[in-house]
Amino acid sequence: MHIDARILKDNALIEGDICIIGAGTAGISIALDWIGTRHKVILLEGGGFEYDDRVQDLYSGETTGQKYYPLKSTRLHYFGGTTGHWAGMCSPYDPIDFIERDWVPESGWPISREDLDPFYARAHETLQLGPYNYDFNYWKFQLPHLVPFPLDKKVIWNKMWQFSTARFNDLYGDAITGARNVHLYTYANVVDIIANENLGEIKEVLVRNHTGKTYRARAKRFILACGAIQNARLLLASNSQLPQGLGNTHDLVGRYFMEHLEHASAELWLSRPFPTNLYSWGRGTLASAELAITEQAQTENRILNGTVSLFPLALGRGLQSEMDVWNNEDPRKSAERFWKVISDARAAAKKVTEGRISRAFQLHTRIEQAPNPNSRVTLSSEKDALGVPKTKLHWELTDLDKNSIRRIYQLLGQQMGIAGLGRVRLNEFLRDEKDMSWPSDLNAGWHHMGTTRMNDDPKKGVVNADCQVHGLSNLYVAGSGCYATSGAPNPTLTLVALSLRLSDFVKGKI
Amino acid sequence: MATIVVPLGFYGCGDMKYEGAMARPMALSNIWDARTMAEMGELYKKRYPGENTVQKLVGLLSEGAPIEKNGLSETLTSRIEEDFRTGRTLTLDGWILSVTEARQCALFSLAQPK
Ligand SMILES: Cc1cc2nc3c(=O)[nH]c(=O)nc-3n(C[C@H](O)[C@H](O)[C@H](O)COP(=O)(O)OP(=O)(O)OC[C@H]3O[C@@H](n4cnc5c(N)ncnc54)[C@H](O)[C@@H]3O)c2cc1C
Repeated sequence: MHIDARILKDNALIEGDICIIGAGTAGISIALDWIGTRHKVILLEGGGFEYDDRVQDLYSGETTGQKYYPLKSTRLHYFGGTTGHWAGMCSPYDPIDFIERDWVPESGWPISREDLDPFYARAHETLQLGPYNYDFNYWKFQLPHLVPFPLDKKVIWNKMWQFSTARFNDLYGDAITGARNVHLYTYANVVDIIANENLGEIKEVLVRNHTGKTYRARAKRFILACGAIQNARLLLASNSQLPQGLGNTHDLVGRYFMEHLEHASAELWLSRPFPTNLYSWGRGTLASAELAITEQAQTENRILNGTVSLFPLALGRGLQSEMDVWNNEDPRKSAERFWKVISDARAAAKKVTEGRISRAFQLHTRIEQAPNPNSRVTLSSEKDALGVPKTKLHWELTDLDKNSIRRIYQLLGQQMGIAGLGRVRLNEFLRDEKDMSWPSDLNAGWHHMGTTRMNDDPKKGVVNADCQVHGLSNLYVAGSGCYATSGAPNPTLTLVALSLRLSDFVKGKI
Repeated sequence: MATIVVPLGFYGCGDMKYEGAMARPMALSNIWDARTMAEMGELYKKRYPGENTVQKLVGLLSEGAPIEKNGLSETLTSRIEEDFRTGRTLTLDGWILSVTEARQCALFSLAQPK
């Protein structure tokens, strides 16, 4: 069922069993899971079914520290959320991502990869991926010509990826609006979360839109699913009862913001051709691989988890830094420019078919960011059109991030030499071991993580292992804000899995 | 593009004679042109000025290797692999190279006409 909140009367009261705030990737994944149950689900979505610049503008904010994309254009603010722009690259987190590593400060989740496995399988259905199988040998059997580089398996392994084309707006619009027990309210922006008198649970949320009207939504359980930056912003901005905001007794909300560092960091020059489809992907690719560092090598070298993907060098040299391309406040314009740069570079690269460069690759890093309390989301003194303080993002990296990238390429260079395959050339910023600075073309994956991190100790995390906000018995957070560490792969498959796990948990509570 | 001037047979430089393969790093010659190889050799010599003579480099490269033509190239190739395995590597202009092949580049650069 769909209700456009703009037609409701001022002060209208919306009531249900559970209230999901945000109809994006996480929120829709959960709502789908409740279709056909006997519970009334309220799904509050700030935008409509299409892009609306006035709503999108509510995402505007300022950034400091390491250069970052305009906050307005890093997410999409309407039904379907950021799946409207995502690239669909999916791979699960590795077992090591969940455990405490003594060389990675604040690492360790209260859950394991095994805990998530059944939900990863379900998330595959939601994201319309292939089988939940990321074993290289499985895919080698399925697809022709996936020939791996003969590298030492103790150091480098082939981490498989699958590709989703799911855009939740088109894909799930009918299912959600057609579900009798799901009440989707569009143009229903949550602007404040109100706790009960003893501040132990949520009583209601305040909802607003550009008509100037305000509504209240009440439910037994509330799930915040607005994306990692926005979830933190809402908790911080809900400060009418507690000055530091909700769930923020220990000043953790918004801290530990993490991204994936994505960057063209080196080159690989093969000494002879090596025909394979394993390391390339394009439209229609079912599975491909990135070169990943084994758990053993990460442990021995005390580095973060990261992977390396290969782009033909002729193509890579024609690409521009995403940080420079995706710089328009309007996400549609940023996306348009982004795809144009890629298609121009592809066209130019097609002409390069001969010579040594045809055996050369640009090596792209994809690496987790070490948890850092100073990398954080806070509130600005400026307010948006609905009266909510805007977001301030300070993105800050650490030496461990840089040392890990350098070491990954040193290991890869060594392995390529041992195998006699070719040679690796480090880009300028990695050459001096003492240089801890970051290049201006450092990219991030538009992956927002860690602002409401998970830890069973309220002094160390905003939510517990069940994604429940510490101290607020009926408030949960869905999404990658709950990640304690950011893993190397893109976050969405894991965030859908985690959301489905949360969905099961809340079902058990209702 | 500069031409590779390393001869196939024994090569003489002053009094010193050595086999051409010694100054021809196999993998790198499939990756670089001669000019790059010579430039890398120059960089190596600048970093290790004590190795800036044919005599010194030939001595280092032929340590434990058969001097006769057959087998030298294979020996050097496996020594390069061994260098990578044992971490006897260095970075020149960003390239992660084995010490042996970097020395080959240095020898190559000494053989180039000034
Ligand atoms: C260009 C780009 C490429 C990407 N590629 C990949 C990729 O290849 N693989 C991958 O794993 N990830 C990728 N991502 C990241 C991925 O899109 C996100 O991880 C994912 O969409 C986040 O899901 P979410 O549900 O947390 O947030 P969203 O999907 O952004 O959903 C949040 C929802 O909450 C709504 N909302 C916000 N505030 C309020 C409010 N106050 N009240 C009510 N509703 C509100 C929004 O309108 C939105 O619908 C990419 C992102 C971008 C921008």
